[in-house]
Amino acid sequence: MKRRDFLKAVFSTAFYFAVRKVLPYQQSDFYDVGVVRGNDYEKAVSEAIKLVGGINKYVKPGDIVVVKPNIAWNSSPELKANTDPVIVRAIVHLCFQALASKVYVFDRACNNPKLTYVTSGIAEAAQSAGAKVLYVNNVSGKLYRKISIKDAAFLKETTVNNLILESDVFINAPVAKHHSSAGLTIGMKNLMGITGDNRSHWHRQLHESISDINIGVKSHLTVVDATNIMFKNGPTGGRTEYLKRLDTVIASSNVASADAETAGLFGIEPRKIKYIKQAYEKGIGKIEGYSRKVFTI
Amino acid sequence: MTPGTFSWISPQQSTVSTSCSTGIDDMKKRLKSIKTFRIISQVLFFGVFVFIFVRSLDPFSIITNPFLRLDPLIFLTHLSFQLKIILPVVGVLILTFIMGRFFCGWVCPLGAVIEGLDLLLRPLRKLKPFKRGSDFLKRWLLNTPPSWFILGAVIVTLFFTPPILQFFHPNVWIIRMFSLSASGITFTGFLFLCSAISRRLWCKYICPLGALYGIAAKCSLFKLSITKCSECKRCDTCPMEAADYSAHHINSHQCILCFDYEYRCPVEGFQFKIRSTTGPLPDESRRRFLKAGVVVAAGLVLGTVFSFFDKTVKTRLLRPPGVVNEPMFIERCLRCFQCVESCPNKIIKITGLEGGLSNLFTPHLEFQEYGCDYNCQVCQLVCPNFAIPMQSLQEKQLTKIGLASIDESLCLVYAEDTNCLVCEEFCPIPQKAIKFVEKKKAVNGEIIVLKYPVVYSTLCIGCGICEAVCPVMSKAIKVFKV
Repeated sequence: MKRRDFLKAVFSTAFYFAVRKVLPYQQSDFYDVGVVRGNDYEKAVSEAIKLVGGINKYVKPGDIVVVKPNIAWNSSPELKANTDPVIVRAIVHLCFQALASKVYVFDRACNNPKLTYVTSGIAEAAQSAGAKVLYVNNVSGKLYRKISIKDAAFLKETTVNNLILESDVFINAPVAKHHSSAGLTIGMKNLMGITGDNRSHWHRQLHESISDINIGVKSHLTVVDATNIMFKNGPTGGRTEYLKRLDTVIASSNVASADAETAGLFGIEPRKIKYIKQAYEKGIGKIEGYSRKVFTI
Repeated sequence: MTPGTFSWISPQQSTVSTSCSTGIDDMKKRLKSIKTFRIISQVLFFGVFVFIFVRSLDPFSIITNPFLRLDPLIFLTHLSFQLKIILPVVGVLILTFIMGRFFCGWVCPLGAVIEGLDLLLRPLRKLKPFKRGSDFLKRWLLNTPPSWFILGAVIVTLFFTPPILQFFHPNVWIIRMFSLSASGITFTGFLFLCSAISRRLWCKYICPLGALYGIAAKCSLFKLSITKCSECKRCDTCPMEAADYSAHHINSHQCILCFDYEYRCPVEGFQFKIRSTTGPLPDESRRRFLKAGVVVAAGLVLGTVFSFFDKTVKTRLLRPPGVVNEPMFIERCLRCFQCVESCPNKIIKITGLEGGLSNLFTPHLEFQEYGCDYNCQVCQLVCPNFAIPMQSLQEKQLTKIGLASIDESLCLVYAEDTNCLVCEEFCPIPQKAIKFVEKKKAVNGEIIVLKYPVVYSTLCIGCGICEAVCPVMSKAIKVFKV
């Protein structure tokens, strides 16, 4: 080999890696939304996250991660009023694989927190994976901090859990359900659980509140549990006949896109749901025309 | 042990404690003594009580307080023939018929508390006014303790409501003391006063459960008796004042087997053995026993007289889930506050005097912050006397506590033309007992779709979750007793 060829080879390799470093995801085939179908939910979660860039894109070594599943109702996992514990565990596992230093799992439950955490199976699942489970019992000033949201339509000021504001990565893990007043409850509506406000008051202008809190607090990754969607009498449900088994997990870096994609599973056009439409108008994310990949395992 | 060892004091011992004149041999002997075992047993059972009480604060604990299940007095006043109640009661009674009032001295958690207080307030008892009070009580009440009277009156509660048992039952009071309720704190103050006057005053003069055990102990197999006596009066410290030293007789209905006399008697005259049928019963004791019988009868009569004046106040109080028969509930409820402590949502509150005497200290529900959880039945599982009937979860989910109704003058949708629907969202009934009706309405020149909530009375069980979450300050949806 001539010296010139050698140098060429060395510099071009160096250049290649430099470019990879500066623009790491330019050439990769990642999508805005990843949809994975399959019986094995744990695998489905990791595949779906792989489709949107892999967990390493979101969680860097040493990061503090908050996973916020939907742990609202005191009902057993098979009734699907809460996020599937298997999915929560899979997410926590992935975070630790990406060398997260701490993973917190919590939600502000609608029923008694302790009963809800245990009955839903999430407390046990998350703890077994090594996450810290916090029972948000009382909304004290220590736990919550006031934030003000610019260009909010209704929610100019709200309080948000300190841990979420201080964490490096915030992963939203909602469950897809019917909701009588909001239409659907998926990722954007799930953020109602991070506030310390009296949420009943948000219902005066529910759609505006939901899109406002999503402007104020951005989730880095949304993993939607659409394995058994509740299409009737939500959000509490209570019977297995209200569920439709789809075995689908949807991941997206953008909460609006994830919600739009999930709304499609219910056969509802995303624009028909007012808060998803507002999310598009306020620039939270694309609700159509995003790149997506469907994958079956 | 000879009396000589009493005077011998080891140099090390004397520096530690000057008042105690016991040797090391004596200490060793004491460790093996029955009294030590008794104190261990008391501490152990008190520990069991505290453990269960603390556990009952945890929403997943469903342990019933065993002290209220193995209670012959509660059985006698309610006559509930359920195996879970009968078996422990029979067990305790059999033991009592063998050994006497062992429960009071060895098991009763309130007895342990009282004994602790007695130890604490020992200096106070030497003060003149307290001593005089003690002497007064001894003179007037010892022969015919009021506890017999109370026992008689309490037993009559079988026939009428409200039960007066709640004011005298030791195991009910100790739960109230621990739950730091106003009544419990008052009672603690009362116990302090009792301890300042005399040792085990409550057990001696007031406790009807002790009186009941006392009757059983009268015919117990084993009995404590004085066989030899040197008239030294060293044993004259009986906390129950059961020993009649002049007649060398121990009244078994008062003896709680405390074994305090151990090692005091120089001639070892005390013996705990199978009673002898030949031993003559002193006249004094027989007369006293007859007197006591008269007192019990008087209590029975008074209770019956009261029962004629009993008027159960009709209230609209919401009762814990599963309570369908209100008079039955009033009768069976021990007012022990166990459900109040166990409820994970803390919605069970104690009724004060506003509900009348018959509802005093009974539990009722308030849905200010939380509703009754759809999948929870802790109160049913912990109720010691099945006043809150034990149901299957499916049954509980269908039993009506009350009925929700919407005040249209307050509801945001009806009164302010604002969509809200929080109550519908939170309704835990699978079919939704609150449904909504969509109507178009012109508001400020704009036509909007309003979702009006409507309660379906056939589905609603009155769990109160809707009331708890209603954003209107004075609650536009409320649960009422049907």
